[in-house]
Amino acid sequence: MRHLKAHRKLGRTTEHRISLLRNLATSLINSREERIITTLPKAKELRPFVERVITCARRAQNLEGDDTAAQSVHLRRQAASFFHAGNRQQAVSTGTRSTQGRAPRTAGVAALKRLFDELGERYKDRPGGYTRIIKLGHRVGDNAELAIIELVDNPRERASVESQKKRAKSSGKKTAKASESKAAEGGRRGGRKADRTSEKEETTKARGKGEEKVESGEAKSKGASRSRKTESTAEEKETE
Amino acid sequence: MPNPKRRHSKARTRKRRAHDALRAPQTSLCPNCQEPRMSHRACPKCGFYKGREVIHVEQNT
Ligand SMILES: [Zn+2]
Repeated sequence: MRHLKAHRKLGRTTEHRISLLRNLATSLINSREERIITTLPKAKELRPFVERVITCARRAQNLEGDDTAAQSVHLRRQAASFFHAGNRQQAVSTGTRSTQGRAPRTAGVAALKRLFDELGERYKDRPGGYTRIIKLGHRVGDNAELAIIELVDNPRERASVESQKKRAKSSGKKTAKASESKAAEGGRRGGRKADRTSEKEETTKARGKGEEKVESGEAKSKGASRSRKTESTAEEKETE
Repeated sequence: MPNPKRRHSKARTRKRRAHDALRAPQTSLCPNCQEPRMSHRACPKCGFYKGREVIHVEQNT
């Protein structure tokens, strides 16, 4: 039987699960870093869910024919069902629509806007595969496997690629001396620095604590491995 | 209530447990920081995966 193989239930009822996926999709699209850290099963469930909305936004970019306006409205409405977009409940409960009690814009509405204004344009020519999942290992506490799910081709990524290119150009002479693999690593280092400045602290507290413990325990072995490494790192420092 | 009929020797217990040992996870060295790291995951030490920093890890050494 292939029953129950299409999706994970994530230990939730249908409504709860849909709500969760909408929340995750909203968070992913609204997040400044264009990435969220969540558990691996949630990330894997979220991927097809958000990609479907992003495809809606992409289609809205490539519309043809004479009823494009109607089509784009339709796509937008279809996409809205992937977020907690409206706040109809509040309008109904207060009974007034235009007084100052008008419902504030929700995060879902903001996500929908960003999706159609920005992401549709960005993914215009990408036939699916708008997200990337990177596994992070297990969480301290419940040992759940964590993962990053991020939108590909995001500004941070583009910046690091660009700095890598610059680095390759500027250090052309030096890299000629070093072997090719080292040159590539030098470029990556440049990218890493750029990342650091822009990247906000993302490790959770618990994770940070765990790292500290491990680090103090392994300080000695690290020192040892460092001295082994010095030969290779010395050359890299030169290029920097 | 069901009760044991015979004494369970230490040898029996230990023989059963002979196959219960856990294995350490497979690791390989991170190409960036040379620390052991599980494959297909970002390095917990330096946050690198596939040659770029995917997550910033606090360094306090
Ligand atoms: Zn590493």
